[in-house]
Amino acid sequence: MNSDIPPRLAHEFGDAVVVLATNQIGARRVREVLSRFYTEDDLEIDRKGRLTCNLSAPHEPHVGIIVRALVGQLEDSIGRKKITQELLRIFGDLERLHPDGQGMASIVALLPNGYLEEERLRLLSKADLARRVKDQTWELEKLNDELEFRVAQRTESLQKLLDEKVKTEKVLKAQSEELQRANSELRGLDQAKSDFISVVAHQLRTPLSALKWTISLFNSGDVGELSDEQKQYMKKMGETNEHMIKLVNDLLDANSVEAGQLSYSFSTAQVDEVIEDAVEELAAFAKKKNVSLVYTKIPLPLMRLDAERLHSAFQNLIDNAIKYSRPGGAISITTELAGNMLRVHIADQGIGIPDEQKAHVFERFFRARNAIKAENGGTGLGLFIVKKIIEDHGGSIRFTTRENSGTTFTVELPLKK
Amino acid sequence: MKDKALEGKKILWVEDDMFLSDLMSKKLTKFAPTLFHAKNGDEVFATLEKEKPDLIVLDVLLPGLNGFEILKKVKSDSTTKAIPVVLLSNLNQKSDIEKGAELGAKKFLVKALLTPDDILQEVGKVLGVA
Repeated sequence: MNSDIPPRLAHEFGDAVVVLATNQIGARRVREVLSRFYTEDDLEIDRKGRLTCNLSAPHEPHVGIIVRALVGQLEDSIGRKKITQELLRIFGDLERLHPDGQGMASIVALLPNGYLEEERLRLLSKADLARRVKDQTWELEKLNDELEFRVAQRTESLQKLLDEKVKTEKVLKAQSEELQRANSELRGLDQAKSDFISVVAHQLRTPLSALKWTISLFNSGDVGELSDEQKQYMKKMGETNEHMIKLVNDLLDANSVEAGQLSYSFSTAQVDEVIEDAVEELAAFAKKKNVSLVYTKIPLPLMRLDAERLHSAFQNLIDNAIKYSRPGGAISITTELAGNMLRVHIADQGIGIPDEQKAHVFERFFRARNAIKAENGGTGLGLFIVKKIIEDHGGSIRFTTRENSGTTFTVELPLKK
Repeated sequence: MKDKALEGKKILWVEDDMFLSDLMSKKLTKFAPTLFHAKNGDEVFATLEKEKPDLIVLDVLLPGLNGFEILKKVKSDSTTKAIPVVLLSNLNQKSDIEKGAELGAKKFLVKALLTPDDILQEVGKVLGVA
């Protein structure tokens, strides 16, 4: 280092101008160092050799770099002590300008070791505190912003939900009204259908009655004796007519079941007589189909029942058993008392009910696929009505079955109703 | 029921279907009642002014006044209210049967479910001759 030209470290902090050196050679050396950070325009050397650095453009951290560079340059020529004095002066001024220590920390941090250790510590902690405060403030502001954002977001989504809810409610209300309309329309249609069935069935009954009465008069000889052949034909005609009457009756009964209009007249009666009547009535049909029909009677208590309805229920079940039996098959009808219930079992060895169709047996108009093949004269209304009659007696009906080996229907009736 | 069991009994048979009416007449002649026939309410009340039948067999679906209305009128007239009435119709809805009973009918018979013999049996029971 050139000790013959001692440069002076000078400074003027005002509008961010630093005067750094006092003679030409020293100033040029310093400028050489500073030119790494500043343009030529920012570094002026006046006639007295003073270097002025315009600090308005760069940031204060650069001052630190500058100072570090100068100290490195000047240490040998002016000595540590002198430089320390100069530095203290500069920082005194800087501190006055920036009481919070801002900027100075980075300057001090860049000084070579051994300079301004005390100040460095003081400034660092001060700056650190300030930084922490700033960081925390920033953190808080960030949190605040985030909270505000979230609140806004939530408010927005709540509003959206609310709007959605109002919209949904409107849609639901409209749909509910629509459903009610459709429902009442359906009820109207259902009523119209019921009325239609009722009118048609009653209208059909009049000519069927006329036929029934006529056939009856022929059969009883009221209109003259018939030949045996004529009697045979008349009998067939009567059976056909009865079949039609039964179809119409089933239709009317099913219609009544739906309308809750099935009529009953309960009285105290012997249930075994009701079953026996049904068995006797169907004995001829069983014989014709070569099916054995056996009713095993045991003593039974009197019960409250509608004899006519219950008779038609058992008749229906036994009729089915015969219808779906194969020639040579057997049907057994047994009764048992179980607690306060009476069980009637009607067991056949017929075609059975296919597994996949079991669930539909008591549905209106249902006929199992093998039943249709075996007998095409049914309406699928019988068991629907039977179930209703049994239930209206406070009882229940169930069955066990195996396709191709037979079905057992079990009717359970309360002994006291 | 024995032949001539209804002899001397007066029956007013109300039926608008001439064929059914004819079939019943055929059946009834064997039992020899005095039979009055009416096709509608007017004929019923015209007959009741002149005659006092032992029984009225009454259809429900009729032109003009229906069977229920005729029954109501018969039962509200002190001179006729004692005459037993049997309704004979092809209606048999719960409501119909209940209405008939409420208005004072002795029985509610369904045409399609009974032969003329069955009907006579029931009529005989009401008249106490079966």
